[in-house]
Amino acid sequence: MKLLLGLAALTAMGSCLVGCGDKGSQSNGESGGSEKPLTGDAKELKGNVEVAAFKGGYGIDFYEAAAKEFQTKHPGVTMNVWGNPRIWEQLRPRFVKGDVPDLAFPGWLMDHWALAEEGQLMTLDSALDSMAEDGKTRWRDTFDPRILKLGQLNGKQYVLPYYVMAYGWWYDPGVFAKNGWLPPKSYTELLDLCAKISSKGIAPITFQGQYPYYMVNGMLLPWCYSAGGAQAVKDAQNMEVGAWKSPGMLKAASMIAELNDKGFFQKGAVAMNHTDSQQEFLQGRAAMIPCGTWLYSEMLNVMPKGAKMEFFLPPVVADGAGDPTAMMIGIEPWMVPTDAKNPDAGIAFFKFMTSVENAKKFVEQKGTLMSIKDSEPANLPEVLKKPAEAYKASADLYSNEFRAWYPDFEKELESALTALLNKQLSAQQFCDRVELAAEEKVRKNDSVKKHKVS
Amino acid sequence: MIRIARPALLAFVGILIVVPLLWIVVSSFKSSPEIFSNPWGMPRSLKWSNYATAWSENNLGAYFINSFIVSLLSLLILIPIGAMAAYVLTMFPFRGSQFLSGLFAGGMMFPNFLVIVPLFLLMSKLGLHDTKAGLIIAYVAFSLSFTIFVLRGFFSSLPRELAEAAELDGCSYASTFWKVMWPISMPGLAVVTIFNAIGLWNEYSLALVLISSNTNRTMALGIADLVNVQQYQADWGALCAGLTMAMVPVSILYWIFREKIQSAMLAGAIKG
Amino acid sequence: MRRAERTRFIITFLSPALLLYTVFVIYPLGQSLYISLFNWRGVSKRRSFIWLENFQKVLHDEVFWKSLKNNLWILLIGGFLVMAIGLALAQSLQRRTRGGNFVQNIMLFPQIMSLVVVAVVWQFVLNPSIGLVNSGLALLGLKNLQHAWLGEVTTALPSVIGVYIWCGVGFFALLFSAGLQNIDKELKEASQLDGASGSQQFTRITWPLLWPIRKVATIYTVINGIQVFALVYLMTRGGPDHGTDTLLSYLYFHGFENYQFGYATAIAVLTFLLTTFVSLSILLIYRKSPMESAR
Repeated sequence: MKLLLGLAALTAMGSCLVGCGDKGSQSNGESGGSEKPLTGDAKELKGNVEVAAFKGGYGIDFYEAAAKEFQTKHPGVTMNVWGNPRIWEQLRPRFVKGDVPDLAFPGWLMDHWALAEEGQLMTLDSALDSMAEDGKTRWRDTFDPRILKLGQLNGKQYVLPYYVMAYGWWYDPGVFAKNGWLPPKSYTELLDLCAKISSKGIAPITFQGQYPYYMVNGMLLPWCYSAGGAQAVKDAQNMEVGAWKSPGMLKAASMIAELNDKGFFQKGAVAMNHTDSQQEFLQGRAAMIPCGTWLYSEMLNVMPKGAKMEFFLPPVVADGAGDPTAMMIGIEPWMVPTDAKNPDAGIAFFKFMTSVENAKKFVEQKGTLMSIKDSEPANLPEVLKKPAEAYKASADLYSNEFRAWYPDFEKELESALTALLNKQLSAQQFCDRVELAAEEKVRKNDSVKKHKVS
Repeated sequence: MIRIARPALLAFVGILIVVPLLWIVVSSFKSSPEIFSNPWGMPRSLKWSNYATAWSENNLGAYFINSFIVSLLSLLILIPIGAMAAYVLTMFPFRGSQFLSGLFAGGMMFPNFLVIVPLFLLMSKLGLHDTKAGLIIAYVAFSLSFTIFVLRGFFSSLPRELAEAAELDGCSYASTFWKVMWPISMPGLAVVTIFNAIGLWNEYSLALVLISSNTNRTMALGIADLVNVQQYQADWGALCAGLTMAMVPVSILYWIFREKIQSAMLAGAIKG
Repeated sequence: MRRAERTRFIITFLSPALLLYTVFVIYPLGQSLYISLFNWRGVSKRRSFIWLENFQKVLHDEVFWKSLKNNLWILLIGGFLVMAIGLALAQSLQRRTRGGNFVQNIMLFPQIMSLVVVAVVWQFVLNPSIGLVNSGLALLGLKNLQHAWLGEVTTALPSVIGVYIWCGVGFFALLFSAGLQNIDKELKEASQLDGASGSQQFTRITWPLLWPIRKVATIYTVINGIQVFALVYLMTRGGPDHGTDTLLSYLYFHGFENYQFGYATAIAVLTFLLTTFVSLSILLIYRKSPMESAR
């Protein structure tokens, strides 16, 4: 009994303490980020500049080195660049308190649209209209506009891209050449090839089963695009009624189910995390894997001797409505928090990082595509040649944007995909379940802000 | 039947515990491709560079010292004040003492990460964010529930007569506690010390938000960092090396004190 | 005089703990609980008061119920097995043998290691392609028993329960050894003279006398069973298809990945109420010692 009393008291006391002591500000409607004109042009930059960066596959060494250079250029500033693989967890309470870095790159698990909607991010349009690092070009014009628009919300720029990730499939050219295989261009070719690979005792395709979004971006959406055209994917992203069970989406789901039924996916891949499955691919136990362009740098240190990797676009539906050169891309955005103490210096530093020379350096060191125009260095890393070609030749670049808008929906989509791969759902049931999720978790949910693809 | 079952069970449990841990140690000497191509074989050559990578990238030496300081100081504060409170709550019933016992016990039913945001705000208001002192205070406060819960059980089994005799001899309540009860409570105190030491050494979620600068990071953060970075760089060999380095000191301490730990736990478990 | 001293003593001895606990645990906790009445995304100071809407939504959330069901499986199956194996192990350890000493020495290892280490180790052991379990099955010629243990809807939860048992069994074995050693040898010998068989001896003497230990063990099991988080989060992130989501991993998703902090704390409050309810039921069941009632 005493325990119960104590527990009741714990709750009551806690709430009372809060009720008495807490005067947390209540929501007062929507207001955009700060409207202070932000340019990063200040002749003499001064003071401490804190840059908080996600420590992922590309590390933070490049940003640290850039900060050193920047500091030499602007002796008035003191740069403090730090990073952590789970930096969003550290930044979050700081956002609540208003004690924030001057430039933040909080990584893919920070909901940056939530930050923007809550007025925690500065709009960057004035900065984009100022001069770039070279002093000649408008900063906005140095970015690839197709990428830049991914950082906009309601027509305002809240976040900025740096590197660009392209999604596709990978194969080992050595293994393929030895067996006389060619990377498949169409789904029919894919089925034929898979049968051939299977007969050699190799799994045709492996995937990152614990993180189903790799398959969403590497198969489901590209195939929906290919079968149903650009509009089909756009409608799905906009959560239009019926979009998740459109013929195009159903076709894409059926293709995944067919590959699964025919046993073309590596056995056990549903349980693998990204590094597991990517190792399986590099070990030659699976012939193909869907993944973004970060694959090379992620696996660089642990490549078995003789292993190679080459990029190709997901095989398309032969008579599909979508442009076969379309390519899915993604960004991991940088931003300036509203409460930053030295935002001008923060943005000036980002300008410095986005100069063509620095962008080129980044490509050379990290092997990725960039959002900066003309940043392709003369000696493009071998592994990047194919993605760069495809990127240039692409008639349409599109991006998975709903994942950041509606994490709850994304989770349900991923769960349904896992169920499909576990053969618990048919393609049709998969589409029905996801459509229901779109209805309940987004369309009918008042606490979720709705977005549209621009 | 039982004659076979007993050794079989022991062998089974022994293997189940040892093999996975041994596997981590063995893998720490392999390269990442080797782990994947030959996961259960012996390493072809000892790849000590895994240790160098894990060590240098993560500054584990400094984190080790931080963890040691934080855990030790937390325990030095926690155990006396926890014991004092538990002693009063068991030996000196007053109106509301049961209520307070329940209040403390209730804390065990919450996951720590629930309070992370408010706790962070509180700590920064008090200027204790990103300090070892702040982390120690939080550790003490969050370990009180368990400590008091176990010690209450322990104290209630102690002979009351001893305290009464001392008090009749003219000892104050406080000196009775420190001079008479504290020494005979050693087994129980050892139990909570050990459990808290293990728990605090491994604690992660509070440290993650209360500590931000590198100079204050603890071992658990360093190891978690290593695991996370590995997720982006796929260096399983270095990861296993890091895990081994995390396990070894704890294991050595455990091995040295195993008899004490066990007898203490036996003593404490019955009474707790 | 003595009475005043007593009061003073109580206050001085209790206040350090109570003060720290109130300021650094209860206050933030209360704030957290209070948040369950708000629509708050946890990234700014903005929030809006919505009364019990979060609770209403949680109770209509299928995944919440699925997580609860998973928790109960872990609690019942995992809890039962961890106690049963622990007791069997404790029995085996009663007779001092070299093997027994060795096992006794190492059985707490899983308990003293951080869960990060445990999770990584077991991810490898259960890895579908290179893991110990599947390689072992292949060696035995049982390839058809191979599974993607943590990725298949049917095997993921049992695998997690297995690891849960692995972590806890040493502690429970130790707990029960303590109880067994405490049971008078004389009592046992007397009952042997009375002609009681081994199993009779166990049901009549050992089991009832283990009562206080069983009580402690059950409470630990319940609290641990409901609070399973790190293991699940690190090994499966709640997947596949919520197959291993627990209340806390689902709470974590909403609080830290879906950015609905109010919703997450509503789940926390319900979890808390559940823990309280179950703990109290256990205390009620174990209110009276069977030994006392037998007397």
